[in-house]
Amino acid sequence: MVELGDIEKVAKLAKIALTSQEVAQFSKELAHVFHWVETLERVDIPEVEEAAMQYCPMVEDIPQNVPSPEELLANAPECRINCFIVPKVMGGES
Amino acid sequence: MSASFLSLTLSQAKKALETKEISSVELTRYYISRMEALNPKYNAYITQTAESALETAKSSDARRAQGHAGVLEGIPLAIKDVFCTKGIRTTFASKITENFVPQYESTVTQRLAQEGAVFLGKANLDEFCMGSMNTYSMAGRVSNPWNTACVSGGSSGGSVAAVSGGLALGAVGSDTGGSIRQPAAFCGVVGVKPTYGRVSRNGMGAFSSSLDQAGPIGRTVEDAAHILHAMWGHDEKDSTSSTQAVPDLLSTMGESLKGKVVGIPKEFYEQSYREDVRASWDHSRHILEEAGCTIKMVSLAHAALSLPSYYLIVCAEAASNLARYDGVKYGKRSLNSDTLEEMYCNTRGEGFGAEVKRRILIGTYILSRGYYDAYYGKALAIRRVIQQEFSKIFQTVNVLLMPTTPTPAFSVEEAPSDPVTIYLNDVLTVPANIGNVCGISVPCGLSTEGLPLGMQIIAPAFEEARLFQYGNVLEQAYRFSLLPCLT
Repeated sequence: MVELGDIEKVAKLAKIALTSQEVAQFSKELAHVFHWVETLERVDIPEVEEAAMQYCPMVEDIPQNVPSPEELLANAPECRINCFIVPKVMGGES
Repeated sequence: MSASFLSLTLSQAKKALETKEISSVELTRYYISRMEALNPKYNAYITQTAESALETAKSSDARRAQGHAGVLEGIPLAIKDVFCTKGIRTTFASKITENFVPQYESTVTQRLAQEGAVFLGKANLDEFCMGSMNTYSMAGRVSNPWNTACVSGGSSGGSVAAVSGGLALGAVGSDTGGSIRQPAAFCGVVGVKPTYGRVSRNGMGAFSSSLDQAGPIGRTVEDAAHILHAMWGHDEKDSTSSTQAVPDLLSTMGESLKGKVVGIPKEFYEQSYREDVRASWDHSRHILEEAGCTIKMVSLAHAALSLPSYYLIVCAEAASNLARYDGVKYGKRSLNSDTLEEMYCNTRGEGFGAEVKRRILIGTYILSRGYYDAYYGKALAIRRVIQQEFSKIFQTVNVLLMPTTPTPAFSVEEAPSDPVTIYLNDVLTVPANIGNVCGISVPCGLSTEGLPLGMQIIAPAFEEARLFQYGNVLEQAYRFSLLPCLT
C-alpha cells in the first residue's frame, strides 16, 4: 500500500520537488500501479540461472576523442574559468 | 515530376535518384514545403532543419555526380528527437532539455549521414520516450494523419506521423516497449524493432538501457529495410552492441515461405478482441497459409507477466538514467534555489512532466532498501523465464503472428487518464522487448472506423530477415497502399 508519506520520502530520494497536489495525485496513481504489479508477487517462478542481465561486457577504460573544455561547458547553465558554477552545497538542514 | 513525388516510396525515390530522373535538391525541397505546410496540423516535428537539409541535398547531388552514393543517398528523413545531432537542438521532448545542443553525434545519425541521408528535422515524441500516445511532449501532442482528433500512438509518434502524413520519406524511431510498432500500427505504416544490440545506443537519450533499441519506419517493408541497413551493425562505442553479422535483408525478402511454421500464442489468442482486430488476425493467418505456411498454436505461459515486469524494469532503469538531469552540466536549471540540493529538486520538479516523474518515483521506490528483491529482482527473474519460453517456442516455429495493438487509434477525448489503463496499450508489443527478440508491424487493413490496423511478426533474436520475408508476404496480400497523404 503506497501512502502519502512514502511518496514524500521517495521524492526526496529521487530529488524531485513535488507540490502538495502532485503528492496526493501520485500516491493515488502509484497505489494503483503497485496493486497491478503485485500480481507478480503471487507468481511462482521456476528456478532459472542468474536473473537476466543483458549482454554487457566490461571494456577497457581508455580515453578516446576527449572533448575540449569548451564542448563540455557549451550547455552549462552557468560556468566560469572552466568550472561549472552551482549554488552553495551547505545551507541549513539538507 | 514534383507533383508525383508524394506517390514515390523511399525505394522508388532511390531508383529515380540513381537514374537521375530526379535530384535530391528537388526531392528535399518538395518535402521541406510539405513539412512547413503540414506541421502545424500534425505537430510531427519539434525542430525543422530546412536550411541544413537543403545543403545536405546539394552535397548529395554533387557526390552522386562524381559516382559516389550511399544506401540512402539524397533521401529525406525525419529523426526522432531522442538522437543527439551535433549542433542541432535535441530536446527529448522535455522542458528540462528544451535548449540542449549536443556537442557530438549519435552513431545512428552519423551512419545515416554517411549513407547520404538528408535530415528534415527532429521528430516529436513522448518525453524521454515514456508514453504510448505522444501526448506527453513539451511540444504538444502529435495528431494522427488518418484522423487528427486521434492519437498517433507513441512514443515515436512524430516520426510515424511524418511518414504517414507525407512530411518525410522515412523516419527513425526507438522501441523500448513498442514505441515504433504501436504508433506504426495506429498510423498505417511499417515499423521495426530490431533485436536489442543490433543498433547502437551511443548518443541516444537513455530511457531503459537494457531495452531501448532504435529502428526504422517506412511506408513499405522494403523502405524500412533500406533504412535499417544504413543504421545497424556493431559499434565499439556501445558496449551492448552485438558483434553478430547483419544479414542482407533485401536479398532474402522475396524468398518462399512454403513449409514454414507460424506460431500463434494461445494465451493472447484466447483474450477477447474487437471483431475487426480478430478478423484481421484470422485473415493474416489465412494469407500465410496460402503462402504455404502451417499454423500452430503455441504457449507463452508467462506472457501475461510481460507487461507488469516490463514496467518495473523500465521505471527502475529510468530512475537511474534520468538522475543525470540535475541542472549542473546541461539542461534547464531552476532559479529558485539557495542550495545545491534545492537546485536539484526544483530543477527536476519544474523540468520533468508528470509521466516522467511518475516513472522515476516508481523506479526509485522499487530500488530502495527493502523492496529491491520483491519488485526489481522478481521482474528480472520473470524476464529470464519469458526469454527462455521464446527460445523454446522458436525451436518449433519460424515466427509468431499477432496483432500489434488491441485496438486502432482512439480519439484524444477517449484516451484513458489512468496510468495502468494507458500501459495496457503495450500489451501485445512488450513481450518482444522483454523476450529479447525482434518484431515488425505491417499495416493489415482498416478498422470499422476506417483507421489502420497493424499485424505483428515476431522472430527469434538476430533473425530480422524473417521479419521482412513474412512482412513482405502480408504487405503484398493486403496491398495497403493508402496513406492519408495520398488520398
